[in-house]
Amino acid sequence: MGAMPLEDGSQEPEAARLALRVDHLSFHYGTALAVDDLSLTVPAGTIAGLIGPNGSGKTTTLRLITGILEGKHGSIDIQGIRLRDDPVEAKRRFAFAPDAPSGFDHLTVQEYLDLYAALQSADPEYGARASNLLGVMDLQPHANRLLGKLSHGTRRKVSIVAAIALVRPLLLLDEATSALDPESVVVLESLLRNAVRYGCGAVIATQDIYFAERTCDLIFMLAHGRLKASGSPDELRRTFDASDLRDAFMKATGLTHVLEGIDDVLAPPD
Amino acid sequence: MTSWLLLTDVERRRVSRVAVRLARANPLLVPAAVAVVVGVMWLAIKAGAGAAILAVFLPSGLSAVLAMILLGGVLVGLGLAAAAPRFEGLDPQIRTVPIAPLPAYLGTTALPLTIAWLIFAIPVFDFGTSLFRTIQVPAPDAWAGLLMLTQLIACVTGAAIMEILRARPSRRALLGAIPLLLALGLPAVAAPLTSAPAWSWLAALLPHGLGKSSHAAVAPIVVPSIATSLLGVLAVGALAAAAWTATATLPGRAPAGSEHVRSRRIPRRLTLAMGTWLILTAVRDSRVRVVFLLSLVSGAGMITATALLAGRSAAALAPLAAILLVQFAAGAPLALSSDLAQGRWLWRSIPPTGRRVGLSWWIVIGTITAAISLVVVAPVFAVMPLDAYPFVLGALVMAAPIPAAVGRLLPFRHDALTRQLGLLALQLVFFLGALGIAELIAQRFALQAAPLVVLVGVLALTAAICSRAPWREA
Repeated sequence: MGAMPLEDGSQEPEAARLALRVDHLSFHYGTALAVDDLSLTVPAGTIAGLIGPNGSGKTTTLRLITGILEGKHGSIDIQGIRLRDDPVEAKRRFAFAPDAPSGFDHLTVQEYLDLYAALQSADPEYGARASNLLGVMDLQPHANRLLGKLSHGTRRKVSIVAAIALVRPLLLLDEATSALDPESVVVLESLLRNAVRYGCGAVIATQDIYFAERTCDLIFMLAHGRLKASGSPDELRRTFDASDLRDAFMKATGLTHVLEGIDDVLAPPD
Repeated sequence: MTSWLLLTDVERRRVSRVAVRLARANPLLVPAAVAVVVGVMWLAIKAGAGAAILAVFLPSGLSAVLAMILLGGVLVGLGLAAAAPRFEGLDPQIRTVPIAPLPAYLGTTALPLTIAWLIFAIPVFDFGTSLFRTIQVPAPDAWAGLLMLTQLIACVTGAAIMEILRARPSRRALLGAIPLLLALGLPAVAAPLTSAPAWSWLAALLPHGLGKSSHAAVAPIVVPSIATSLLGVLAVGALAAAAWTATATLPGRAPAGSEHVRSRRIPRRLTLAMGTWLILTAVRDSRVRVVFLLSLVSGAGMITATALLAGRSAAALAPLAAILLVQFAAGAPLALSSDLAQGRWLWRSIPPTGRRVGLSWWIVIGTITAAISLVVVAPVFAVMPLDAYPFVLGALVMAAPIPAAVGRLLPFRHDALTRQLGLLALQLVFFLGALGIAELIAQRFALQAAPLVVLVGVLALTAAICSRAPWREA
């Protein structure tokens, strides 16, 4: 991917062309190592997927990038702004939808979007974009319902709408497709494609390997907090001599042994 | 182990885990907790000796002491039952296990609450021992035990009233419960008609004869049979426990309410946006509404009792009633810290710094607490002597930011009874500590402005806590 020319004809600085750069990031929960010396870069206009088994460090990585957790080791740059040095400016450059949006149970969907816009200092067009997205995600009928009364899937859709409508340089989605109906997954895929067309970078953590294979330009495979492999889906298939991304994932993370002997697990004892 | 004991054991394990984690995180908390326990016991003993003077030298003095203890018990019962996790607070998968309503209620609510109340009632026992020894009642320890049991029954009565409100949260049921609460004040209302002192029927259960000879400066001590009194108290206790169990385990109606509500405009500025969010939450969350309504009703009951207590004791008790009410009303804003902690993923990931978010929280919760306290306490001002106004208003301002700080240090959890008890205790210790320091400075340094100095200190300390405390899970 070549450097983007700016309007004045000069080249955009290297750091600004990266939506995200993570260098040697490590994090412990007490004595448990959750993220181990992780480094990755996500160019602008790219959808990157974090895939890995439960406890592999995907959510922790996203929480570190968003500042929900504070790591002591390593650095995070968002569009060239170091999170630790200038958190306010760095946080103005991303939008985040968590895996389990909690709190705000007694606000309606519309009120929540207003609150989110206020806290994020969103531009004046945010309301119109959010309203369009509510329509696209079939959420208009829920606009005046309390968040606490919504199903988990509907609530996740609200959270995704709130984040995407910000149109920030970096979009972060945790468990992107979790609890979403098939229709919403298709819509989300299109929305992500749309967002990167406008220069956004996106990082999505997901357990859905098939969604990642279809949607992501770049895949980071994690296990035990470490980066096991990275590259485009095609590159990963070639590297691991795999028929599909699932097969490549099993080989990269060393999980092939899990399937050995699985037929006998439920067999009655002799 | 039976299912209800297993459920109680879950709560016990949760307490142990929290205690061990806290002790490991900061070993200084262990001696601090021991100091608090010893301090509370010492205060209870000193208060008992002080109350004896009131009991002996004021008409209806013992009745007043007893009435305050019982009313306090009812309020504690109301508050704890409102905050109790009950079976619905458990993990959804656990809730699918086949278990009857009675063991579910016993395991998650009745047994943990009773144990918690017994722990809270130990200072009442100390208080009673000190009181009865000072007024030289035979077998003071036995009478102190009876006082503790009576307070426990008052708690259970409060819990039963709360269960009625919780099981059928309709406006009609709420209105129906108000006479039940006001009935607690009926003896006081009837007192002037019969020339009998207020609460004499309650005082008659105890050995002191003040209830029957209200005009004596030093009343004769009449000691009825302790066995008879104990039987009476046990009978009332059995009735209260049966009412509590029945109201808690009978199937209730699903909470009413429309799925759709009118969306309100959220302002764009951080503090105003947060304030609007918290006010909407307070108005829409039935648990917060119930606490607020109960504060109002309890206030009316306290005023009735205080106004009808004779002469000087009414003036002395009014500020105390006001301060108790402020503490009770502060439970509603404190409960909002649960919502703040649940949304920490958002508060931590938005551009405004943690310090700005914390200070906005301090301003909003301080304002909400002050407003609620003022509404709840307002009727007490009617029966309070004018010279007590500055003290009560000062205490109100001092109490206002405390729920914000306590909730930021350790967020409220609707499903964790032990944390709720700890938070209420922490709030009270914070408040009493501030009052105690003001008193100490005033006495030691003869400083007239001591309350003002402490007030500024409390405001600065709570603001610092809110802006700097680490974020914790609800």
